[in-house]
Amino acid sequence: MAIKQKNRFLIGLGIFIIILGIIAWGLIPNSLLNRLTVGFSAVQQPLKEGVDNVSDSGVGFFQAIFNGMAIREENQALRDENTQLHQRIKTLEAENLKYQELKQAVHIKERYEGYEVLHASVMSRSFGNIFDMFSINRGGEDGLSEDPSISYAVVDANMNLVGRLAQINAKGTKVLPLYSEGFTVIGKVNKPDGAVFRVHGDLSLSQDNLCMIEGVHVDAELNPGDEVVTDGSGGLFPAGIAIGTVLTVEEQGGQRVATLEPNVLISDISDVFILVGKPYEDQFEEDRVDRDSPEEDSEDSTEEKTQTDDEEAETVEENVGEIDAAENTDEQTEAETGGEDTTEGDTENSDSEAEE
Amino acid sequence: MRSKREILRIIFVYIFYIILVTWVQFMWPDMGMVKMIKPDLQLVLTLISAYLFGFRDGVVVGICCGILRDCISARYLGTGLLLLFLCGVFASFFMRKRFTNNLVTIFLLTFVITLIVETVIFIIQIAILRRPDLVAWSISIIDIFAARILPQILINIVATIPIYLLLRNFGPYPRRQQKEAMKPQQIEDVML
Repeated sequence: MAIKQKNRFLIGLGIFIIILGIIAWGLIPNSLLNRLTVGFSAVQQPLKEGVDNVSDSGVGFFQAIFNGMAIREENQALRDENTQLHQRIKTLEAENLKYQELKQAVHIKERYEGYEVLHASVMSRSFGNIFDMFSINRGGEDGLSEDPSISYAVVDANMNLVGRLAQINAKGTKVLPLYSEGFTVIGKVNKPDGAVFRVHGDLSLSQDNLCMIEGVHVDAELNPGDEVVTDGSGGLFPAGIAIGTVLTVEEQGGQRVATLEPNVLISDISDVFILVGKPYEDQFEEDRVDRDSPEEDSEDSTEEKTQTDDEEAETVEENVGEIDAAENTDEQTEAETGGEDTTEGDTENSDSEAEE
Repeated sequence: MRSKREILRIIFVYIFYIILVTWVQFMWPDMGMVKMIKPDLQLVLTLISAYLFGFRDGVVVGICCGILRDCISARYLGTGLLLLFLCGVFASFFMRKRFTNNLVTIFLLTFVITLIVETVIFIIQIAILRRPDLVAWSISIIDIFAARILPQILINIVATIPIYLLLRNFGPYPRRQQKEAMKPQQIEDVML
């Protein structure tokens, strides 16, 4: 018995040391261990899809049996709705054309120009505490960089901030939700000259799906109910992504601290969108082109402007000439009209006035 | 000495339960989840298998569940593995000589180990992920206990019931062998 206890202790100690080694190995960026989890993602994705298909089929089968009448009625209602929707689509297409024309007319800039939006499905849910990341079915094979120093913003279908990519593998990726510790984004109140501050996850608030706001300037205006969006500084998150709403504002130790209620509830999400920025080389190239092109553009525009000014000046001169001619004509007409109706004295007076 | 069939049964039943529990825990929609808390089914499975069937079963189940947990949602690889391995080891030694294998004892085991695990995770989070100067210790610890640890313990205890019944009645070992294992001094011979 004592020998068995000793053996168990040795086995347990050995496994414990091996696990500590695994943890240390896993902390090394781009280690082989991190890449080994790729295989798991490759298994997890078809497994999840298979389970979803089976559950959908099963649910559909039983619904077909038990809810046949309800389905028939629902089908009829859906047909009616479908007809209405067709009509609405036609209306919307016409409105869309108008919108496109307006957009071209006022030169509306795309909100996230320079970012490619990549759709992803949620493969697993977060569990909380230090196991709070959830995985999605996009990875290095979809064009995401597996470099640990590069991350991407993740938003939901309504362009609300969900989090950022944390561990990118070839077939799958883990997402760090915005209310987790370790997540930080520079936010601002969505007003002209709105206060800028740091929004981050907090241990005590994460249970209630809330985030902490810190670094608020003493004189900055920040009130409960204010809408908070990303500031855009830092480069990872483009400006203008909705984060949430300010819930409370308090003073703690001479600093203003606030809580933020995110717009998105992570537990309800099944699809997310990754904002993939252009690679730095491309951005640099584009910036260089932009720097070069404005001069050419400005020269062209100067010439065009000069031409336009000349044309306008000519037009103005022509108009002035026309106006003068019209005034002369009027004067002549008045004079002729006056000559018919007035006496000689009046005519002399008018002549003298004309001379004056 | 076990027959080949018995060994296959043990392997397949454990694989089935580990995958099922992991799937339910991580891939099931979060319907009915209160304050982001849901039962730690992997922990409960490890505890019960370790408590009912001994050191080897507890360690193997803990390691398998830990690897899956790390691959799915851990920030640092190996943390879930270490956590569930230690839980399996601890549960296999928990009060074996004083109590019988009844549900109340397993409730107690779940209570104690969930309390320890959640407290350790809280301390790790404070120490590594959060600035200590911002922590109001007296308030935070009470808040965390009331908001997270206590509900987690209660939910885990509730989750203990179905997993215990499954492992006892449809588990890796037939009921006959389990009854024999309940007898003092024979447990090591039967299970190991």
